[in-house]
Amino acid sequence: MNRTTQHESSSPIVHVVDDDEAVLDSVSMLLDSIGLSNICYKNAQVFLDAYVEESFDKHNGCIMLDIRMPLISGIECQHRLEKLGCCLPIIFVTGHGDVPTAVEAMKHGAMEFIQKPFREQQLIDALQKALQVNFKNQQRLEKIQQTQAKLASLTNRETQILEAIVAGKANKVIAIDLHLSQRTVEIHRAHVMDKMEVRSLAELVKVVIDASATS
Amino acid sequence: MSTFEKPIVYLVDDDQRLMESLSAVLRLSGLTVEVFESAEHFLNNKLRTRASCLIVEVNLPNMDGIELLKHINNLGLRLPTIVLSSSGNVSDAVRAMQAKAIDFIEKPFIENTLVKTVLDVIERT
Repeated sequence: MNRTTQHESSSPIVHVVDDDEAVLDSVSMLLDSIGLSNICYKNAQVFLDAYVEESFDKHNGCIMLDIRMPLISGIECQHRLEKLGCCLPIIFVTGHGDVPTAVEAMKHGAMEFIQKPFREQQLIDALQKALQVNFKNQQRLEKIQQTQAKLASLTNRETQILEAIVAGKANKVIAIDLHLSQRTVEIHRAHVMDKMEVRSLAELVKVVIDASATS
Repeated sequence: MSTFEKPIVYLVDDDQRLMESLSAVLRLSGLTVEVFESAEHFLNNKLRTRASCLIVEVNLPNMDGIELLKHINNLGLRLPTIVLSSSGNVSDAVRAMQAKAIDFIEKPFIENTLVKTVLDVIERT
């Protein structure tokens, strides 16, 4: 047990945290059988240590957490991960589920709360969905980072003009506001569009809003 | 008109006695309350009006409370919803929270706790 599947950075990893070795073994075997890389942890502390030490890609994968474990419960582990800014989706699996625990877990952003006994397919579906959500979040984040890098590449003047464009001002108005000729504004504007790699005003406004909404 | 400005809370539950006492407590807190005995009844009457909060029981005849919540979400409406449950079913709780319920409360509950949750919801929106 405690098998650590060797992983390339590109493939997502399912982190399985459960104090029951039999569960770890069977889940690991199940995930191996469908080709999902996985790492097993025999308690929450081992997982949290691995997370903090960045022994794996913190952004790519999902977590399957048992609720009732000695020392650090699954819920406590979720709270600690939240404080650490963890963005990996969490799926709880428990043999002792009650409504208040389930509600608490879901309020803190758990994706699923599965009760034992469960069908294997139910777990697989939940994990696949969690990985999909994680993948989409990653893509969105990457896009935002790209936009922010592009924004950082603008000169002060270009940033000024970008802000004016996004605020809906016409070139003529921007020219008067900034004491420039309209021709100069047009040139800056073309540079902004080039650097931001957009072809239309609508596209420009969209990428800027997308990047600022979530940053 | 002062009644026009009072926040509206909708209750959807076929437990009439509970609804009577709960709506009395909510009214005492200065809220306007309207009670519906089924999801269909609610949908046919009030869906497109302004509202502050919906309180709905999971176990209803025909369309259940969580289906109602999903239906409201699908219409693109944002109606903060508290789901009540007389069955204490964990998978109902999970379904309700996945459907973006604000809270999921098992019956019997302390009415004042629920009222506090409702007032919190209204203050936030």
